[in-house]
Amino acid sequence: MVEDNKNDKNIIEESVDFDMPGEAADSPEEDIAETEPEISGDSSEISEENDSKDEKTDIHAGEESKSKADEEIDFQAVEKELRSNGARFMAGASMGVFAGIFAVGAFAARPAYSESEKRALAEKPEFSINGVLDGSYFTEFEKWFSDTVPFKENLLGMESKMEAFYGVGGESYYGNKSDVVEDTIPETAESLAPIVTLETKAQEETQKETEDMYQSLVETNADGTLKVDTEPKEEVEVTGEQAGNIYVSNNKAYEIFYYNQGGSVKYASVLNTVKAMLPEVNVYDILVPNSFGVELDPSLQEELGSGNMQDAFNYIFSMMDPEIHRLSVFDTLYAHKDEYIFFNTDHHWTGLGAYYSYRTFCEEKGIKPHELSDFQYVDYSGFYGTFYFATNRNESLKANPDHVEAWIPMGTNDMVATDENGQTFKANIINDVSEANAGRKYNCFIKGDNAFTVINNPQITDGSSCVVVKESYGNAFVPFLVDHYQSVYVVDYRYYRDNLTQFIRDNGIQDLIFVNNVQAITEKVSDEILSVFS
Amino acid sequence: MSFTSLFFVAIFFPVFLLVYYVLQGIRARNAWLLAASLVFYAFLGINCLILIVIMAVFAFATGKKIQSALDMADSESPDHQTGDEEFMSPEAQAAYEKNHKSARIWLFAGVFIFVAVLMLFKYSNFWLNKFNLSSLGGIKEGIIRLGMPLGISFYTFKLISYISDVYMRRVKAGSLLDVMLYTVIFHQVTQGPIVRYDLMASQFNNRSLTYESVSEGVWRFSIGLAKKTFLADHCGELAELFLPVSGSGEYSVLGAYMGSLCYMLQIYLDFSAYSDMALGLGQMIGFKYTENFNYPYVADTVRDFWRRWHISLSSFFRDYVYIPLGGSRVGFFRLLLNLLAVWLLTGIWHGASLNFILWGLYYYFFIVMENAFRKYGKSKGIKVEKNGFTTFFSHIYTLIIVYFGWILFRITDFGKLWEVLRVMIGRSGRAFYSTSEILSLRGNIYFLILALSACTPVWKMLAIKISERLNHSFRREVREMRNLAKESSLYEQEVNKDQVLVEKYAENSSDILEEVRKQDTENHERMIARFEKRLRKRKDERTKLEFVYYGVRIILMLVLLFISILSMVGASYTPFLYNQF
Repeated sequence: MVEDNKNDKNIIEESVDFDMPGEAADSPEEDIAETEPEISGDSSEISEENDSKDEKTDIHAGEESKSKADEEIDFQAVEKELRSNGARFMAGASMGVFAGIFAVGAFAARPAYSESEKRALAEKPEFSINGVLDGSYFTEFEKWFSDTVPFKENLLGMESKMEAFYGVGGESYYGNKSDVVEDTIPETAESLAPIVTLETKAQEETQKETEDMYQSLVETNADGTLKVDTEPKEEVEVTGEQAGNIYVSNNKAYEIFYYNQGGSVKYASVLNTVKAMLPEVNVYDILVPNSFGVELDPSLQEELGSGNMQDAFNYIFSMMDPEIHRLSVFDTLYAHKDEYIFFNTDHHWTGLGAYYSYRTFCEEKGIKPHELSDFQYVDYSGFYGTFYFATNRNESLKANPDHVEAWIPMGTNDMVATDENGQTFKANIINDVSEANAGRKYNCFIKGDNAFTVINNPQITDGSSCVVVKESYGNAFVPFLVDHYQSVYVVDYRYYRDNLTQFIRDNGIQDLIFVNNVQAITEKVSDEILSVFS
Repeated sequence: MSFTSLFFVAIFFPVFLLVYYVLQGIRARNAWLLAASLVFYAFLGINCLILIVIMAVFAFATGKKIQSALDMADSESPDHQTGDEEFMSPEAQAAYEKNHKSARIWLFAGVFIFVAVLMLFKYSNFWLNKFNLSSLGGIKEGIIRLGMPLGISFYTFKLISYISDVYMRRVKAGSLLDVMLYTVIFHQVTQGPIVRYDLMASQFNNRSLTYESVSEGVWRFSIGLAKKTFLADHCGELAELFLPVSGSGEYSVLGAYMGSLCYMLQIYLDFSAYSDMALGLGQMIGFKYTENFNYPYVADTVRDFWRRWHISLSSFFRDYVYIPLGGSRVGFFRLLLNLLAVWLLTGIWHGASLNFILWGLYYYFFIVMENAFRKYGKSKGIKVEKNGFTTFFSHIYTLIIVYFGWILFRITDFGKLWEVLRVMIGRSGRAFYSTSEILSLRGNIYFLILALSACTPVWKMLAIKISERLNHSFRREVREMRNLAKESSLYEQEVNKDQVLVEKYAENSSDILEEVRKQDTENHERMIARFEKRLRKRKDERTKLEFVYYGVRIILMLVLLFISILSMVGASYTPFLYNQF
């Protein structure tokens, strides 16, 4: 690796003595040659022969000069002639290399979608006069060219192998701190009152105004302990959409949690608002910690980001209407922290983690949970999740692939989903992902994230129904609910566009279950959740 | 287009080179170089291209005007030499003065226009914001719509140097094609170096393209490319990771120091890499440009640092500001003023923000201090002994000054700057280090060592050592060849001498002569055989060495290019985690 980078190996032929203005304040002998710029010195040395590369230089220059015995041998000239062989070969080789690069760049097939980045790659820009004039056409064109470089995935894989040599392996940290907003978790009790008042007011007012009310609430609380940063909101969004900051240790990755005060208040307020709008519905709120909070040593958590996820949950719950069934599954998961409840290379929990939380849910709801042995068990191996790709294929994660364990519901394994674009399709609740791409195996559970999913269990006819409002963490949880309700409706708040309040009222839904993971507690996400109810 | 974009490396550059090599004749090649440069610059937008072409045409016209005024002055008083004024007739002197004056007016007009255009684009935002001249919003909008023409700081300086050189008779005004090529040549147009016109013009019609220059050029380009994409860009990421200057990111004392160190590495590696690439690209088609960096971080004084850092810029200020103002042959206070002008301009040139001016003044202070110290030391007869300790100390001193200089350079917001400095002197109550920083440091420790080593001449010294071995073997081979050649002439001399001797003293000359000749020939053949054997041996040695040398070089070049491409591809990696939550 070291010898790969003999960066300054080339020879600076002549370092012309460049004097600086500061030079020679008082010593005339050092004074600068004022009339003549030193730089011009080299140009006279350039030899007369143009295009000498086209002239054949004999390989056996030595023998040749032997015959011309009487000629005085020009030392420099001979050396030069002798030397040109290697240089010639190198010149030829490098031209070959550039020809190869050109061939690949110009003619090889270009990918359009990146599996590891989970995004469509840049598209070739449309030609436009304006774009050409201000250069944006060319900028886009170059962006397209580099984004869709042939063999991109292979090259990226090699790049990550190269990065593995950058330093001492083992623990590592990926991320950018400039995105981070970290607040301290306040004491539990004190902020209950303002939420309650908001909630009572919210009851009397329309949805839109509630949102405005909420805004003012955040502002009024923006003193003392309840400091809300209004400026970095944009950056919080960036953290949310792209990879967060990731800590890798012992072949396992963790997404670092930073407590967000504004998001916490808003999240609680959204839940209160929903409860106020739907007072007759049982609202369950399941807050799921991530592996960072559950599995890492608390002092390490504190060093890297915010520790005490459970305090954060308790604080958020303390701001909520007591009528809401508030389930922190932190303790539940913590009790099983040595089991396979979180993936190594992915930010999700496993089916097993979801199962333990489901038992807690049953306890709260007062029903008897099914045992794992009641279900049919399936296992799909070879899963590399988001952390693996967010760290650009960290080598230690590569050595520790995940497998997806799932338990097929007893009642039914069928569901009907509506995706982002409004297309309705049938799928299984637990899907066979043995053939799926390594990065997409979490889609085993209810076929990934869809705007709206309906599961009807033919074995239950009591008219019971629930709505699960979730992001992808909920996917692993939903299958366990199937055997307790006649109808389970799953809403992904990021894609759902209808009025969920109306839907719940129209269909007489009894249970409204929020399954949200700790990283979702931001103002942006809370807004998104609120938006599906209006 | 940038040298480090995949499009440049994979398409533009190979096509350019192929056509260039296929074309025969220097004129066709120059035309192709000009066309390619215009295409290269057009990638920044046609608007910018139009601007640069107008600027070049204007420089050409100004140069011609100055030249003709100077010529007129010369032709009207052909014997004129500096200092002749008092011996000239009043009329001749007046005519000379008049022509000279018109040359000077053209010079000032040209410089004024160039500076005005540069100010307009580079500093308009700054001034408009500063004085809140919202009434001039239209201008601002127009400028924004046009876009910031990349490289304008570099090419306006090149043009200023051109017309000044014409005025100072260092060069003759060039043809439109030459001035145009000088301005837009794609090697230098975006990031310098600010090469002088005489150096370029002399090579427009006369440059040698050899296998050496091609292989050296490719080598230099590969080094520059890897330095930029592999080292500098990652150093930049680390700098932002340790010490984020934007956003509200937290950092500790260690983070502030490490971030600044990484920035220091980044700025050198990045900038010198561009120079390496420009020089390499030039070499590949037979141009020789002047070096722009000479390992500035091994400087032992601040003055020395500026002799090694961005040489083409500092020599520009030396030749076109400092020396015209009187240089160092003035009184001490005038000298202070001259230096102040240079350093203010240096600061302003780097960017439209107060911190750059402050940065220039910062260096002004240290340059003046060093000068004063030298002067004082000399007058008092104090001579600082050069030993290991003082050398070490002066290097450390320079590095510290430069290090804090870059902090000043990097952070444009004074509030932030103050905060960072407070953290660095430990007056902020922040943690000494944070775990994530330690992890980042650990995870990049080998990389950082490599980047540090790339800022020192160790690799270059290693390369020189290796190439010395090869040169040595060349020399030995040449020596044998020379011996061989000498032997033949020695033999002839010997034969002649023997003939003379034999004819002079021997009776039966033909027999003896024959014998002597035979002996001579035998000797000669024996010597020849011996020399040939030795030559063959040397040649074998040399060929082997050469094979290894160039083999290793080619492999290293391939590796450098490959890791550059990997880094470029890696730079476009932006995982979008749609199912993030």
